[in-house]
Amino acid sequence: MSIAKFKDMGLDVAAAEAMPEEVSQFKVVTRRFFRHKLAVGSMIVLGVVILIAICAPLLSSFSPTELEVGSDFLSPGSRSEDGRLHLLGTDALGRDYWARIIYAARISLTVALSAQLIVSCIGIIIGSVSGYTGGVIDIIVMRAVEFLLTIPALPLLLIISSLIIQNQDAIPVPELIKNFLAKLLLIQPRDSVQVFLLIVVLAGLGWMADSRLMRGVVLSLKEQPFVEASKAMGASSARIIITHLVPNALAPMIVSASLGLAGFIIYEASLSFLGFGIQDPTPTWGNMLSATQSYMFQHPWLPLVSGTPIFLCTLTINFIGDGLRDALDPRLKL
Amino acid sequence: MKEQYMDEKKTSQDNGKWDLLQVNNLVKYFPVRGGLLQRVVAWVQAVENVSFTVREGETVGLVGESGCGKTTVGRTILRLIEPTSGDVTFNGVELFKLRGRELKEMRRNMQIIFQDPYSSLDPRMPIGESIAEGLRIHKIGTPKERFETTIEMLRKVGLEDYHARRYPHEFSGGQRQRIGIARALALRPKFIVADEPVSALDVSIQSQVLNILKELQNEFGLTYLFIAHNLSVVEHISDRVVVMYLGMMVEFTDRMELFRNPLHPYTQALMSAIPIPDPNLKRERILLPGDVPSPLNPPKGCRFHPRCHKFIADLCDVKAPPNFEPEAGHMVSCWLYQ
Repeated sequence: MSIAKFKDMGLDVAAAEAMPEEVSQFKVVTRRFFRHKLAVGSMIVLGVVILIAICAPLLSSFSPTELEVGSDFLSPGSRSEDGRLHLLGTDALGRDYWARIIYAARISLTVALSAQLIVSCIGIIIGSVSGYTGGVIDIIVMRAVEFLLTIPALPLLLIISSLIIQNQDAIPVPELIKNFLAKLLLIQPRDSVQVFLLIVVLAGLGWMADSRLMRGVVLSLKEQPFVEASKAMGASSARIIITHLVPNALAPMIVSASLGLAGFIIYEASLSFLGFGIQDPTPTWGNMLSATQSYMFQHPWLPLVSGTPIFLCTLTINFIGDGLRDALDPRLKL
Repeated sequence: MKEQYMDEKKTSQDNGKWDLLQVNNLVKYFPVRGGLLQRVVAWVQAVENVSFTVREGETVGLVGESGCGKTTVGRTILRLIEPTSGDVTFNGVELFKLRGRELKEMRRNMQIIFQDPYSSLDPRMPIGESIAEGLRIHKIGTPKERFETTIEMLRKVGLEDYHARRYPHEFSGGQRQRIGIARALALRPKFIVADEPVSALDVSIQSQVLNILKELQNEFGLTYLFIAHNLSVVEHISDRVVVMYLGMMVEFTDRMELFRNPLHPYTQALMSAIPIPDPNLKRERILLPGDVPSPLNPPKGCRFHPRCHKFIADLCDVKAPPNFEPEAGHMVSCWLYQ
């Protein structure tokens, strides 16, 4: 409700203007977050990485798949035959390493972000419905979640993704998604199928922990008197979940999402590293790192260069998650 | 149609007031679940055969120690907790038979004010929205009208217009309790369950909130069920008082009558414990032996008999007393008055 709205209604505007702006929860949280030095620093670093990923085509004169015969393993700073600078040298096939790294950032970050987004949405829906409904539904859903959680994720991920990647042409993926991803990631629609499938697989195996967290938060929230007040006024369960439970559970879910994001970057990288993720020629940080294994003693900068963004992103995202947790916890007075 | 019905009722009752709410033999047991399969291993007998009436426009105080089931009575009447048995009639309608849409419509007429002003408001919602929530749920008025109602309610409880945009954490306990009252009033209910609305507040704020409740009662013709454990608060606000002990109703009568002439031994002990602000006045205090038994396994017969100083052997410990009416309008559940 803005002051203008007060004016429209001919209400006590003078008093409203004389008072300081209301301190919304959001303002309190941002103020507290900006006191967390490490988190703010991490935010800047991550912001730069994301900016580089967005501006990738502007930052390199090479295409990530452009081959240059005879100029494999050029050292950083050397020039191509037509005089363009290879900022970080070239890989085994003579492709510009800097170009590949920054195009890979687009792909790796998109995979992690969309997987986490899907996971958070599924978690919020399943957790709140299960927690609020309670009873038999809750027991069934949570036992199922616990069962799925006992299966070690990485081996399962390996099996499923290898199966899917082998049969990717048999799996119908909507043209719309295929083309959208291809445009977003600047790759061929054929290759974007892999990206889409990887997102689905990662999200499909990652939603359990967030559902459990959401359920726990909802269980404690639904006993609060303000939920009872809402019920006494005649609110339906759906209304209570949407207007009271979800907004109040958002803080822990955001923290969990930020930490989960780092996890998904690692997962994507490890899958690609093991050769079960997105395949060459589509660049990702994982498959670039994987490709450097054979030459790491002759050209030691290659694994360092492709490992650095993975390290940087997970570290900064974890710091941001820590900062968010401190900022969103109302019990901590910073 | 409804008006006529109300008029009929009015004439049939004494001193122009009729029973807005009738609670008959209300029983609520909570299951205690345990073990691997979450089977019911015991029952907490929270409320056992409570019956009383609330006349239109009056305040009935509901007093008792912590854990005696007074809050459960309040919440069961509002259908926030489902009853085990018994029935409640509100305005001629049997509440426990309502389902779905009918229940939602009925909820407009009855609201609740909570004890804890800190957890009774959604921390992520500006209080203006909290107050207007009931109007949104029942789709009453346009957004502008709803906003105006919100402002009106804020003014009624002594808050300012600009407070509507603020969040609960920016208010003091007393202010939040008043916001809770404004929220309960926004739907213009007939009946309000006030669940210990002042016990979490400072004494100076308590009288302020009590006075607001009284003013609003006169203005809107509200009927209150006022749950409390503080006898002086109850004496201040109630017309009639229900005294509860361990889930059962022990006494139900006019306020003056109760304080002047308590009949039940438990009420007598309770009255003797009220401090008198005169150091020279000596009064005999009735001390009850032992503690309140657990509602998981209440005593047989009269639930008060192990602590009673007027205990009748072979009667009180065998059979639970029904409600006797030794004087007109004075109900007491004790074998002494059979």
